[in-house]
Order: sequence, then C-alpha cells, then structure tokens
Amino acid sequence: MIEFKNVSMKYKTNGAVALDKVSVKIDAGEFVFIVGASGAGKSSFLNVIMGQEKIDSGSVIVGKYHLERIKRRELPYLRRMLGIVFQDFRLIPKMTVYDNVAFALRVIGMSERKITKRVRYVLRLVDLASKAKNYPNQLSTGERQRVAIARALVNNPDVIIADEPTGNLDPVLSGDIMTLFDKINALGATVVVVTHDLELVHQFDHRVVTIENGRIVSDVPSRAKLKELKNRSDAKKAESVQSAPQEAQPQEDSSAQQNDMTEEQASQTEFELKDGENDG
Amino acid sequence: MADKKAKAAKKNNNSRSSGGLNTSYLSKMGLRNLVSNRSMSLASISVLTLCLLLIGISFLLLVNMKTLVSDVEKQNVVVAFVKDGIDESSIEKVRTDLEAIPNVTEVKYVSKEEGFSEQLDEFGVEKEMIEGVIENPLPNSYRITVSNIDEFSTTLAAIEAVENVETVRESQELINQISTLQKSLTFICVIIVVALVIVSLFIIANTIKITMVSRKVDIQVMKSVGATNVFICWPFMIEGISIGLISGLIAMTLTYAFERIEGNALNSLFALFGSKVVEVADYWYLLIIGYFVSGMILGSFGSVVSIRKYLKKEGSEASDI
Repeated sequence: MIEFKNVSMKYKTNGAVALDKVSVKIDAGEFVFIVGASGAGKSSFLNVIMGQEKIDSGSVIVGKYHLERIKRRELPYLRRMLGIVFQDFRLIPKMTVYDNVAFALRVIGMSERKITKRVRYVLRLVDLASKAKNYPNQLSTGERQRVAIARALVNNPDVIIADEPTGNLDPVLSGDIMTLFDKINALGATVVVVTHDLELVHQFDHRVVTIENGRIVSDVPSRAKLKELKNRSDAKKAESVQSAPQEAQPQEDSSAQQNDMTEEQASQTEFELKDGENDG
Repeated sequence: MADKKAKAAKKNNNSRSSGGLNTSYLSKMGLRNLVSNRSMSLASISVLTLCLLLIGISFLLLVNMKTLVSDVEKQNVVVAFVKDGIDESSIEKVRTDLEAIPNVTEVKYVSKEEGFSEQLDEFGVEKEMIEGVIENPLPNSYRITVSNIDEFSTTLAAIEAVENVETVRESQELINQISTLQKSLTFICVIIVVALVIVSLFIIANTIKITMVSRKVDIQVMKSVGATNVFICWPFMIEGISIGLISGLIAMTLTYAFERIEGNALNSLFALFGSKVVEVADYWYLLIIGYFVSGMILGSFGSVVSIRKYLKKEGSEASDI
C-alpha cells in the first residue's frame, strides 16, 4: 500500500534534512503508529505520502502512484485515496458538520442523493448524527476531531492518515479517538497515525515505527503480529526437527532466512512481548 | 482476508470514481463567499466601479470629440467672395471652376443680400433699424464645403486661384486647434484607460489574494480531500465575475446619471461649435458590452492571477501563504 525505498529529502525553505534514507513498507489493512519527537521528520513523512513535499532521492509508492514522478494533475486523485486527519481539525467554520463532511464528496462530483446517504452513515459511525446541523464552533474539541475523522472517512479511502490527531485532546478523548481509528482499521482501511504520545501508543497493540532526525531508528511489529510470527517460527522448527533430525542444523538456517523476522527482530520480539505483558 | 480487502478496494474505487464538476454547488459557494466577505467585496466593487466609470467617461469624451470635430468639419465652409460687377455667366463659371477642384464636396451660391441678412441675424440686429444707415458691404459669394481637412491648405490655394474670386474667408485655425485637441485627448484617454485597466487588475487581484489568505484553511482542506484546481478556482472565478457584473451595473447607472446632470451644461458648450453632446442611449449597447464584459474580464482575470500563485504551493511552501 505504502512503500518508501531509501527516501531522502531536504526542506526547500531552509535546506534542513527532513528524511534521511528512509525505507519502510506498510501493507494494506495495517495500523501503524509513527512516533518521534518534534522535528524528527514525522510530518515530513506524512507530507511525502500526501504529495505535499517532493523527495530528493529514493522512491515512494502509494497505491498505484509512484510519488517521485507523480504529475501535479494526478495529486488530487492520489489524495482521494487518502483520508487525512489534522491535529487542528481544519474544519471550515462557515459550514455545518454535515457540509464539512459532505464537502469531501462534492469535490469528487458525487450526486447529492448519494452524498446524503454516505454522510449520514459516517456521522453515525463517529456518533455525531445528532450534531449534523451544528457548526464547528458549537462542538467540543473531541467532537470536532470526530467530524474531521468523519470527513476523512466519508470518501471510503484506502488509507487514513492522521497527523497528531490527539494533540489537542485530553487523555480520555485521545483514547476514544484511537478506539475509533481501531474500529476504522477493523473495517479494512489502512491507518497511519503520527503521534508523539508514547503512553497512548502503548495502550494499543499496533506496529510502531520510530523516527529520529529523519531516520527510522526502530520498527516494532504489533504484539499480535509478533505472537503470530513466533508461533509460525516455533511450528516450523518443530516440523523440521520431527521430519529430519540429522539435517536439523542446515534446515534451521534456511527457515530462519525464510522467516519474516531476523534474529535481531526475534530477540526484540521477546523483549516487546514481555514489555507488553508488563504494560498490560 | 485477502478477498475481503480486494472487495473493499474495488468498492472504494467505485465510490471514489469522479462524477462531473458540481457547477451549481460551486457557483452558489462563490456567491456565498461574495456575501460573507462583504467588506472586501464592497471595496473591490467600489474600486472597479470607479475604474469602469472613468473608462466609460473617457470613451464618451472621445466619441464626443470625434462628433464635435466632424460637425465642425461639416461647417468647414470656405467663403469665396466673387468680384463685384461681373456678369452672371462669369459668376456661373466661378461655380464650375470651384466644383472642379478635388476635395470640394459642395458649392452653394449666396447673393450679397442673403449674406448681409444672415450676418444681421447673427448679430441680432433688426434689418429695419439699419436700413438707409449702412450700405450692404458684402459681395456675392460661394460657400464651399471641403471634405478632407488634412488637404485643406491645398484646396484653399486652388480656390484662391480661381478666376474672379476676390477674397477667401476660412476657419483653418479653429479646425487645426480642434484637431490637435482631439489627438491630445485621444492620447490622454488611451493612457487613462490603460492605466485604469492595470490599476483595476491589481486591485482585484489583491482583493482576491487577501480573500485567499483569509481562506487558507478552506483551500488546504480542499486540496487535502482531493479537489482539482478547477474545483478550487471556480468559486473564486464566480466571485470575481460577480464583482465585475455588479460594478458594471453601477457604472452604467452612474453614466446615465452623469449625462442627466451634466448633459445640459455640456450641450451649451458644444452648441458654440454648432455641435451637440452625443446621447448615452446612442451608445448603450457599446457601453453595456464594455462595462459588463470588461468588468467580468477584469474580475475573473484578477481572480485567476491571484489564485494561480496559491495553487502551485504545496506542503511547507503553502505555510508561507
């Protein structure tokens, strides 16, 4: 769904390094947290996915688009497969909740009948059906963020991208918003959430990619994924021991290569699992 | 799971398939923007109205000058006085000779009595009052109309050279002055019009630019949900065109009002030259086209100029808007 290969880029405005040889792959249906301190390169990572920043080297694939050679006229179509949620919500103050959400569908020229149906469905999903006629300034902060999520969702995007979606929310509301993203992910959408709130990240069992100074310094799969990988690895080991004990050594090497995890990842897996258990 | 994802992707692609541009919604949005940004809209309308009005008045001024010169040219009568005491056949020969001169369009005989009577009328003197006091000093004459003012000197020389023509009276100086005035006014008006067009464009572009800055978030949201440039531009274009149309309407009304108020005063001035002010009604179609079309062009062009720059900005550049 999203693949960065050796991507580097500097900001045009000040020449500072934003991303430095970043390589990462996010599959369809995954939920990934991108974490890191302010100025680490998280937002640049998202801006590249959204086609807002051009990379200097490497390649980026989002769906069917190769972003290093995407044409300006293709950008709107790239963005239609992404649902973007901003920290500051970016709702249009002069529009009602309904119109803010419907706006994303009007952009693509959908008929008003279909728009009504779709917007009602999405507002129910984010539990805001009763606030459809309200204006953003009549809503609480959490409700505003849910409107922003509804707008991101309404177009049925392949990927939901959220840039610090809980940055303006208290811990309880943050948890609610993340649960909502979980729900959206369960419905089949890929979700990428950028945040610096590690406490919140640890409350959920999802892959965590850490960025520091424009580089990916760790990429930890979810505990469920790790368990799955570990079970698979154990099963393969047991199978190989049973079938040919005399060739166990070379087969073990080969299975280790075929495995999705490196030895380093495996050791990390055990650490994360324990860590997760302690947390839980 | 894979099947479920594939189905979901297919469904997504179908639901995102782009329909046509919802022009009625976008146009409504443009008109709504016009009302909600009323102070900026009002400023644009005022400036554009003033510019259009000045352009319109410059146009009318040019038309009037042209008419005035044309009217003076029509009266561009050279009076050729015939020598006293010549017989009728000689007088008739003078007419034939005058008519043969190129650039002469009309030759009219005025007897000495007719000429004297006209002069007395001109000065408002009753004929009876001076009868027996002053003798008619005028000889018989021909009034000659010249078509092309540029060849006036040549024609005048040819008239003077006709046999039995004693003296010639002409108003070349006046004609030259009016002609020079017309040329100067044309030049000034063209410069004024060009300057006003540039000023209007600049003001409209800046007004839209300020509007764009105040609606930065709207534009960013539009972009983030996949709006095409046409979609983003449309409401701004409608806003610009509406500003142009409203300004055109006000300018048209003010032009009529100007004619009503100042028309009489100008007519008295023009009457001195035997001309009259052109009616705005005679040029209503040109004025309507001029005001509305140039208003719309200025309004929409101003929008495009300012939007183009903003549409090109993405990401970190967009934060500079």
